[in-house]
Amino acid sequence: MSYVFFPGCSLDGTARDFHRSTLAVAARLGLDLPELPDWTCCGSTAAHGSDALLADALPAKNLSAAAGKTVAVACAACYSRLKTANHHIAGDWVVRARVAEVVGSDYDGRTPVMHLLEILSRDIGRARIAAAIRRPLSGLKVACYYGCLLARPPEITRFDDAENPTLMDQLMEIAGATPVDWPHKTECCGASFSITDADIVLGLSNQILSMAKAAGVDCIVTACPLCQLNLDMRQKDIEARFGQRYDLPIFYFTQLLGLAMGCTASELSLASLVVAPGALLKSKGICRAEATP
Amino acid sequence: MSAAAIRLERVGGGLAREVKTRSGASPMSCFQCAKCSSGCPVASRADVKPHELVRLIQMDQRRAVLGSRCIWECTSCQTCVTRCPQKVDIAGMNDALRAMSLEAGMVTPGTAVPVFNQVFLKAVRERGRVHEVGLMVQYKLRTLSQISWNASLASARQETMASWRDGVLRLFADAGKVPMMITKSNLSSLGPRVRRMVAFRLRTLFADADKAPMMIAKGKLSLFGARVRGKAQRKAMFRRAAGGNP
Ligand code: SF4
Ligand code: SF4
Repeated sequence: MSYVFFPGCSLDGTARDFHRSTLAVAARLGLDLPELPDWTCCGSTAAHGSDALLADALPAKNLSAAAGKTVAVACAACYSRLKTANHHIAGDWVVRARVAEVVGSDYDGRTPVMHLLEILSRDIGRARIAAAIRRPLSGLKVACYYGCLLARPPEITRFDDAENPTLMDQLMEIAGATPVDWPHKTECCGASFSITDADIVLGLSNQILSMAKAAGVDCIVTACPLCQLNLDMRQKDIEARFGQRYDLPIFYFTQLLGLAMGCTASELSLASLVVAPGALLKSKGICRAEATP
Repeated sequence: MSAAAIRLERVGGGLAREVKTRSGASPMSCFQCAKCSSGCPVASRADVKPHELVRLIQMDQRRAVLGSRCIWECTSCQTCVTRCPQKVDIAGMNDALRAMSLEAGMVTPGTAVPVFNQVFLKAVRERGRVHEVGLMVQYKLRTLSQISWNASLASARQETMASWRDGVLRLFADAGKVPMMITKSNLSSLGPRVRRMVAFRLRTLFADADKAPMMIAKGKLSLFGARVRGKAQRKAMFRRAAGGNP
């Protein structure tokens, strides 16, 4: 299958490490991810929270440029917006007609959209990924955190079980890590309020961190730039606010997968993580100390 | 009986129909099991919980619904609609309610969401992509202009304005001491509602200023963002969308 990659704004900004590690892992797997030319922002929460038509039109503009290829997405929020627009446009001819008027061309809502986790597990498959593993993450206990938007609502994303998704857990297993059972896989981190109301984010993210800690993990694995930012960059604030000590590195799943495939710390931008993972990785014998931040 | 009939006339009235047209959500299907509120991450802090909001819509309580704080605190996490036995799309409904609240001029004081959305969409329209540094700067400037606007509303008294201006200047001079200064700054001469608004906006203005150096060091912030071709087309698209909403 051939793909075009829709990075989304975060992957060019705060989540550059996600971008870099995605391309590093794709290269190891022989997965070609050319960038969608001239892609524009999906509109995110700002669009669907204020202008229903624009919220479908911005994704439609991008999806109709994919020329029959599958659009590969890394950001869970972009994924949700692109899938939701497809759902609206393909399911309602009135919406389709109005979106066509706004965009200036008709789009049928049928360009396939896949998250990287889906591509890795469904298209690439266990065998090919296992064959690329050079340095299994033995002894690393991880909490796979999916966040809100990959699995919900299931009628739209068709990603995995909405209450207990396991795609990321399976990948981590192939990489040699030990994913744990824990109850907060799909709880909300407060995402879009990161800028407008940090109170909401601190409270919700604290619950996720404390649950992961209670599950006895070494780190949390994420698939969303907003989840990662809230749990990582705000971890110090959360610790201060709630009088806790978590010290949990927050990885993108591509970073851990990349480590298992033998990518270097710099290929995976590990230095961008705010809670430094160096000591943890060294203690597990995963990465040489001098190679990690 | 007639009293009941009058009230019942409003059940499933204009508000429920408007919500249905604008969002596709069906508030009239709700049978008040409250499963939505049990899983909602912000229900514990909400002025109106999701199942209560749906009930208010059924009862056509426009002011209570469009003026509620909860529609601005909904994180769009989709938990409610995923679990609702009646598939009431509360997340989608809240999107429509936010737009309706803005149109009706009923936005609750103390939410920064409308300003943030405007700044965000303007960036998308102008550049095609959102550049986080530019977004923060624009957002903070807008927040600041609203602070002075609130202050001018607050009182015509000269001394209030002067102490106010001083406060803002001091805040800028010493950003590191911001939290302490906010609690200590002379906001007591303002009325309670304005004080709440002003304190809220000041918090917003300085939140995260401390994170900038770290974020630059970690390669999370770049000073310049990308621009995508096709600005004129985008602008036309935004214009058509604004005209095309119901
Ligand atoms: S879960 Fe659905 S049916 Fe139950 S109270 Fe909420 S909206 Fe109503
Ligand atoms: S989408 Fe909004 S109302 Fe629904 S559960 Fe999430 S925060 Fe609550």
